[in-house]
Amino acid sequence: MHMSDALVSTPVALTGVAVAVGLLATAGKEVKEKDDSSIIPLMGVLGAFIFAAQMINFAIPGTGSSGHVVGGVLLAAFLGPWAAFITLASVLIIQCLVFADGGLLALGCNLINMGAMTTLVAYPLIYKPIVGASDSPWRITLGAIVACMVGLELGAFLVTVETILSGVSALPWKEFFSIMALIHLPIGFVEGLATAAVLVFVARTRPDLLHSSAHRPSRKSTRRAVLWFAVATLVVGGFIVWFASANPDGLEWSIEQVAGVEELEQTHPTVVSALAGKVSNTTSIMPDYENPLSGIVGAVIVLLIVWCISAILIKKHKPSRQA
Amino acid sequence: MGSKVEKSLSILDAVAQGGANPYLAVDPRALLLVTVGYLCLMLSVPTAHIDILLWYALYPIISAPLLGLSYSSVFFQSLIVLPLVLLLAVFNPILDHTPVADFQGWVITNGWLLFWGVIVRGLLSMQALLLLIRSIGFVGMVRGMSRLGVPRFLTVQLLMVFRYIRVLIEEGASMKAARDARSFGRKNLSLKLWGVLVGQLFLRSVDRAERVHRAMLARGFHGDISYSLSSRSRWGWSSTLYLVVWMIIFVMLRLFNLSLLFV
Repeated sequence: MHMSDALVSTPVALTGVAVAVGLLATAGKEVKEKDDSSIIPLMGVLGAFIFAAQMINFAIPGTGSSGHVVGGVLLAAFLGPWAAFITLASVLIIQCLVFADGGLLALGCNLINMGAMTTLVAYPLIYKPIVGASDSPWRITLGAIVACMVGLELGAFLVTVETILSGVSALPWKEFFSIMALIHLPIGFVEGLATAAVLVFVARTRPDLLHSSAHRPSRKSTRRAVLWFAVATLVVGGFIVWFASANPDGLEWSIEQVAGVEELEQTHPTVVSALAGKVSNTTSIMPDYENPLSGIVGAVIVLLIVWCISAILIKKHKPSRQA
Repeated sequence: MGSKVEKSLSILDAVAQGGANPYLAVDPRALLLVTVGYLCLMLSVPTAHIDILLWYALYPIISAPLLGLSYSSVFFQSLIVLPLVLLLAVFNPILDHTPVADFQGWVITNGWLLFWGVIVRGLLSMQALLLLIRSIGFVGMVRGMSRLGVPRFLTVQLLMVFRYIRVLIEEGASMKAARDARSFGRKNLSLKLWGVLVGQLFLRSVDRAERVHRAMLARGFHGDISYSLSSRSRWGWSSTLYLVVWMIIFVMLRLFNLSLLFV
């Protein structure tokens, strides 16, 4: 999935670089805050370990061919998400500069597609909730497979978006993404199996080396989760909404088949329905989702309402004074 | 696996310190800035405008001998990018039949222009990257990045990974060879066995990292690595000239289509 410079335009590449630099800066700060000097040589040696692991191919069951790991979820399971992101970033940079695998300007996009999606999204949001602190081989295998598949599919989606936005391909985005998603589904599955094979072995021999969280999420990690959901809301509400289907939904389609129109007119208006109509017309600042910002505005309004309700209903826990 | 390991190790040795005997001594920072500027401006050209893109080939053709490299070897090495680029580019002439020009009865479609545009972009960007890394080497490049303000945690990480790649690749290769010698001719590793092999390699890597950490502590390491930034090269007039002249040329090529002079 290493993107070449040929597949990205300058604005897309520089945006990718800016986002990747921001993520790296955050990762550097997070790792420094841990104040653990042993993490530096560990990250260096494990980065080299990923190269060595990629040299050793395994047989893909039922195909007769062989494959190798990318290693994002694997690294995150040992180092945690931020240290793993820095390590995988160094691997991708060396692959680009030394082995000419991926473009220089496309490095930012590659760091996001392959680095961030696996270490910062798939591992904390999928692998950790499934596996937790468990050493069970089945949970580790399930967590690894689902995390790797989702991580790689997200990466494939971003490759599609970046290529389409760069305007280098005449392939329609739906067909492009379908091809990318189909190709990366089995790749993600096999990567998950390979990741699970290593993790199960290490869980059996040295479980202390796995980066598991046996405690409740801290306020800091909750705040981080909120931030990620905010980012996801902005991406979905501000960007993916552009690709929303213009076709009528199920109800509108059904009405159209029966009555010939998508929406029915009010035939017997009452006082209440007239009042409701007036209120609706007054408050509908973005009728029918025509405004492209309607997704984001809607999300912000829902957030404010939920926050107000929770502020009223949830009493803050005050520590009791001791005599 | 043997040939794959040998190929990787020979690439690592070749790029570690870079090329020798450049005609022009250019500071790594200048070369890095020129490469980034070249890529930004070249990739900003609309893909179908091959008449503008081809002029950007002047940079690798002229710079290669200046930096002590052979353009033909750079060109042939850049062909490595073709398989992946072709995989995407091939759809363009199939899907886009918009006629753009007519040349002696042959109708040239936008799809074909996009096809060749992607190929040219891929080759030129790879050649720029090869010029960069083969002339100053990986270590020189990381030093240049450090002097340009890239944070120390990243440059140290890059140098450490590069330092230990060879060690771990050789260790992995010897483990694989030991397994192959005991496998009675079976070449493929099952996933379960692969997991055990790579898991063992991981445990050895962690032990090695702990030994490296103890060695660093014994030498006064206290959490922050400070290393000498003195580089063999210094920023001289040749670096300034190289940077300024090429950036002017790249901008001029972007603003004015030189192909119109020959129409």
